[in-house]
Amino acid sequence: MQFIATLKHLFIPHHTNNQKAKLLHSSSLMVLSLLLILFQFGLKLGSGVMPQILGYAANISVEEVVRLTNEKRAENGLSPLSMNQQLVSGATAKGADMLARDYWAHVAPDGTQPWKFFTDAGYKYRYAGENLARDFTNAGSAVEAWMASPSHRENLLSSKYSEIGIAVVEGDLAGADTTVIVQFFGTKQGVATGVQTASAKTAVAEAPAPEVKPVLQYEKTAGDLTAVTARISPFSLFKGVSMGIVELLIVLVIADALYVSIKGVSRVAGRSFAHLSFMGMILAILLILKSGQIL
Amino acid sequence: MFTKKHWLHYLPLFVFLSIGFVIFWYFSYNRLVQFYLVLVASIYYFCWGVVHHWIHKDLTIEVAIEYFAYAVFGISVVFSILNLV
Repeated sequence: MQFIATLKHLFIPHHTNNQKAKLLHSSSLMVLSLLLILFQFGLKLGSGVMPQILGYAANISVEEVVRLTNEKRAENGLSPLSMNQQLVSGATAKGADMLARDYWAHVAPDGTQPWKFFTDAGYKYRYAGENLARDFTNAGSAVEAWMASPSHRENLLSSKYSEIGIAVVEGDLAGADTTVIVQFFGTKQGVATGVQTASAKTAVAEAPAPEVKPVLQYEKTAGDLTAVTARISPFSLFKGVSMGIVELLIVLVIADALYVSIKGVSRVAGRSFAHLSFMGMILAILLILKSGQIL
Repeated sequence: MFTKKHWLHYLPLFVFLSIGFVIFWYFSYNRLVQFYLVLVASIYYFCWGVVHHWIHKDLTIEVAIEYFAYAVFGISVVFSILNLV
């Protein structure tokens, strides 16, 4: 009985909640905000402590990334890129370096440029480019994210490149279990391409080669198959919970507006239509948001 | 019941939030821009609420807090999810 009374208090306009569902009260919204922030921090903490349960299950194969990249190039009238094992080695070393030294950037904390990984792998480039992605659940969404970003798209659809090397590495990055995709593009010296005048994107650094520690927990190169693990994505879990709460609040605001209109309740309060517009924007944002970051 | 006058009041809010959503979508994967966009949209929403009620002469501290609470809720949801992507 007490339980039903509590539910009524939370969801239905009643004399106990001043004729307005308790969840729509300012104090309740502030509590919900705090709980969501705490839940998010809990998920972040949980993915570090229990990566086998809370984490990003990768379903990414190197072949798929190459195939989708060449598909996008074909759609734009460009020749396909061929896989180069030296670029694969360089990309793998870059991925390993990011995990070993815990950074997510094109340039390492000590200033090491990405081009060093090309030359260390024995690839003497005329043109070189790098795209990075992390936390994507599949190859398709990572390639689509690169295509949506002008600078990454430029790399992907450049006629200067003739070869590609991909590495998909998994490990701990900033305390979270992460899958990183390293995409290296290149054209060797002495190879003619569609563009004759441009040079490499940036100068090659002369710094001594850093030691790359063998810390990869999981590494996939050409020929390997996809590994799928059953884990709960913190992003998907939070998205589901927050969407549920936002939808519930929208329903309550609509019900409240109808209640006030039908019952003729007179009170000084915010406008329901304004709240619905704002919550509608938040819900739309949650709907279009996808996990993953590119660099 | 909405009248033409009501719609004119709500139009700036609706248009601003719609444009905000389109820009958010355009800047897919630029998390910093996305966060600042929601922050600006929330501040605008709060200011719109205060100005709207002030024009209608029914602005009270409770009403202002109500808009503030909704704005904080929106920011919290987006901040949290962007922190997990």
